[in-house]
Amino acid sequence: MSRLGQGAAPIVVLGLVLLGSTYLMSNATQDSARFGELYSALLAINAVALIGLGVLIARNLYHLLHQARERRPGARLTVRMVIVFVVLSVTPVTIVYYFSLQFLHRGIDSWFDVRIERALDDALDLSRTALGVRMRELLAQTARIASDLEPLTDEQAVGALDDARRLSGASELTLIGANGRIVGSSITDPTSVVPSRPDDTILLQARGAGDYIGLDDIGDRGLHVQVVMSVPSHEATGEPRLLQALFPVTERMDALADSVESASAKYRELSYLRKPLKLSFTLTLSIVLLVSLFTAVYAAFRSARRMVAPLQDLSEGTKAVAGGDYETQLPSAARDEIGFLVASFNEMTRQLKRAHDETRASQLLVEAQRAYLETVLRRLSTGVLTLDGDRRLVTANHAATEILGVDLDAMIGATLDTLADRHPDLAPLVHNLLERFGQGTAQGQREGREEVGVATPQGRRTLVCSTASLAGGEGDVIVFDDATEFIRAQRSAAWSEVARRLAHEIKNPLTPIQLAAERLRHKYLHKVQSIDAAQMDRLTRTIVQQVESMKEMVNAFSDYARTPAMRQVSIDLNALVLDVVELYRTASPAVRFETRLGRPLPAVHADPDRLRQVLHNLLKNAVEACGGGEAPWVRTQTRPGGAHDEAMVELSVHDSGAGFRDDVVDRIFEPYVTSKPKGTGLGLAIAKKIVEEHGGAVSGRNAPGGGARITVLLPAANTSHGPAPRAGAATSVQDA
Amino acid sequence: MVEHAALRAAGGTYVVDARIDFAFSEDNLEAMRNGVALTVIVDIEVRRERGKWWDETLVARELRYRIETNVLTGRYRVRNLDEGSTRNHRSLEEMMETLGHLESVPVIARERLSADAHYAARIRARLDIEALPSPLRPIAYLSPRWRLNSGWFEWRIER
Ligand SMILES: Nc1ncnc2c1ncn2[C@@H]1O[C@H](COP(=O)(O)OP(=O)(O)OP(=O)(O)O)[C@@H](O)[C@H]1O
Ligand SMILES: [Mg+2]
Repeated sequence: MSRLGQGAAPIVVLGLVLLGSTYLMSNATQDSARFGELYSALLAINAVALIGLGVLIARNLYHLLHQARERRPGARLTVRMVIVFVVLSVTPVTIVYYFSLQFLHRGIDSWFDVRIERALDDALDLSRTALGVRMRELLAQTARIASDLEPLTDEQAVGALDDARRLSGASELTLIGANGRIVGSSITDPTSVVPSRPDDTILLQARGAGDYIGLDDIGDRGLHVQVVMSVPSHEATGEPRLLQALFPVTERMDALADSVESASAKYRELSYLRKPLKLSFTLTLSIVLLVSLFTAVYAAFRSARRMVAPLQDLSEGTKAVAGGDYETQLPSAARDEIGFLVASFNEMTRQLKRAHDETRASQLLVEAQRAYLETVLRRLSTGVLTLDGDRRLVTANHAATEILGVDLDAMIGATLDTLADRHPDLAPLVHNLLERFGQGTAQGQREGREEVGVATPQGRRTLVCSTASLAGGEGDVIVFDDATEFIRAQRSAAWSEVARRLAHEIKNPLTPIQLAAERLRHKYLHKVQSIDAAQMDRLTRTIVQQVESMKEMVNAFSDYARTPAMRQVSIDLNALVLDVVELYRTASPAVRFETRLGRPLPAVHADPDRLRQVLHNLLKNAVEACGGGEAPWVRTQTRPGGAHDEAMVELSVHDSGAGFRDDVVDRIFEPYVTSKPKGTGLGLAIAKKIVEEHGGAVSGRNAPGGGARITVLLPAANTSHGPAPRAGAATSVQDA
Repeated sequence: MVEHAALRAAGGTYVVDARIDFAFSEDNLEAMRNGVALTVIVDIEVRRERGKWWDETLVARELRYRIETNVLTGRYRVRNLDEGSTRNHRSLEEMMETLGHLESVPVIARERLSADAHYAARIRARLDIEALPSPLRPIAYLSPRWRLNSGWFEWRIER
């Protein structure tokens, strides 16, 4: 709701202005000269003010009614107060108005009295009669002058005029010719030279009907009696001339007549104006009444609204508080009971707000903790499920979904049985859990870890699972880890250990067997008979050969199982290649060994013994592959850089053999894949493992020109991060 | 009602001759008979025509006459408020005849009208309500029977 002009000052000023203008207007009605000129303007101003006030009130009324119809809080109270105010102010004013009007009309009527009017008319008549007597005398006098002038010619008559005037006491005598021309004149007043000429109508009357006599104001010279009569011509045939005589009325008579005339005129005017006067008084009074009435009504509106406003605020504030807005503070009102109410309300909302804020703060704290826990649970690689008292799923974290391979979020609210029905893979887990829950309700009894095998889309997984009851006994929490990889690594480590021991245990008796066979041969071969000798030779040789191959097998087996710790240094690959190739060159003179070494070649950061083993394995395969062919050759090549700008060193071994056989070409790096009768199939597998441990890569394919070609890529030593050994299952085995 | 009006050159100035019929209403005459003095105003304007623009008013003359009645002599006295001269008339008709007969009212000097512009003159007669006694004014303003106004009589000045 708008509060136009907070203070009362504008209203007071407006009221004073209106009061002033109405005062002026009522003065003006009485026709005092000062305000007479302003009367119309004042009337207009007041009318405009009236219209303005009317519009203001109409607008207020409209708003108020509109609000009342909409049942806006406080509107009905305002309406009631406005009605009371208006009735209280309008009633006395209207009564005063009515009686004022009565008094006014009666007062104006009392100014006029038939007797006064009669008296004034009589006075007027008296003046006329008095003047009439005098006029008749003057007519007779003029007739005498005219008869005197009759026998005279025009010239003689003009000469006689002055005397005649002086004798008769006229102020002016004029002789007018037949043609209307002034023949001559005699004037008392020396200042006026021009004689006054009678009107044409008078002349006409004097010529035709007879003498003219009348009372007239002649210019500024006051009241005069004017006589015009014809003077017969001295010649019988001549046209009659006219004589005009002006006689001044005596000064006293003039004054008296003037006074009577003006008084009578004034009274007559007033009497005529009686009706308009009443009307304009009524108008003025009405405007004064309406202005004050409208001002009062408008003031009633304002004061009612001012009184109701705090109540309205209170009502709206209460509603707001009920709606949950505790910020509501009302503008403080005056220091009365309502003001006290408003202050109490403000205090109440302050306290409400404080309480609400505290609740909210603790709520936020709880929410923050919850969010924290949720984050932790989400980041956890351990699966966590919670169940309520009815064994329904309440929460499941991301890891649980990942591990079980089931969308657990969709299963929230389902019981464990439903879960098992829906996902048969989870049945073993569910059964295990139910079994545990069935074991007892005492908290301590249920807790413990157990391994459960579960089939998941990623394959069979082993879960280490533990359960605990939630605080309060309402529900349980299930925690499980995916132990598949861990168990696999453990198993692998155990196998490695077995293999190593086995190799060791087998290798130990092999040497004595070999030595014994060789000594047997050496000592008894020449002593036995020839047939037996041949047989013995064959048998001992077989023993020695088989023991040798067994030794190799065991060595390879233990090599795979046990890998000593890496000892990486910066080495020159070219030197290593030359070194190893030289060994093969002397061992297999039939094969031509070619080396194409890239220089300069970045150093590689590697264990030299293991790299040597890689080279051995590759060269051995190459020599074995090309050994039977014609002009066999083996080409060993080094060069810097891989395919990309990664700093790598490339090593490749190419031979003139038949290349990889089709049935093994895809699997040559897998252990125990071999096409050789005595091969272990571990050579390339070990080479791959070593290369990968150095952060490199190995690949093999048949070269377009024939022969197999194995390519090894090793990271160069001067890379910023250095070679990072790849963590793999083998590393875990070694660590375990 | 303006019956006729014309501008003519007389020596160095233009003068206006006009005949105006003062159609006093019965209410006017009634007031006059009851001693209320009426003031009539004759407005004469010379304007320069400016096409689209508002016409420029070169001169605006206002002739004011006050009509009083003398109860004693029964005369109608017309006072020329600009010159201060008065004239008595014995009858209403005579008074109206003389009042409505304007002759040689100087309006504007000849040299103020240039040859290459168009000019128009207009004339009207009206009752001066503000000169009435104040009780009559609201009625005079509101009642059409009181409002005496001939309306403008306008004519082009041909030279
Ligand atoms: N240079 C080569 N040319 C053709 N075939 C090869 C070559 N190198 C490896 N192979 C094939 O890959 C198989 C696996 O080789 P790997 O070195 O792993 O085992 P092996 O040589 O068979 O046994 P071992 O290394 O114990 O003697 C070989 O049996 C052979 O078929
Ligand atoms: Mg091999």
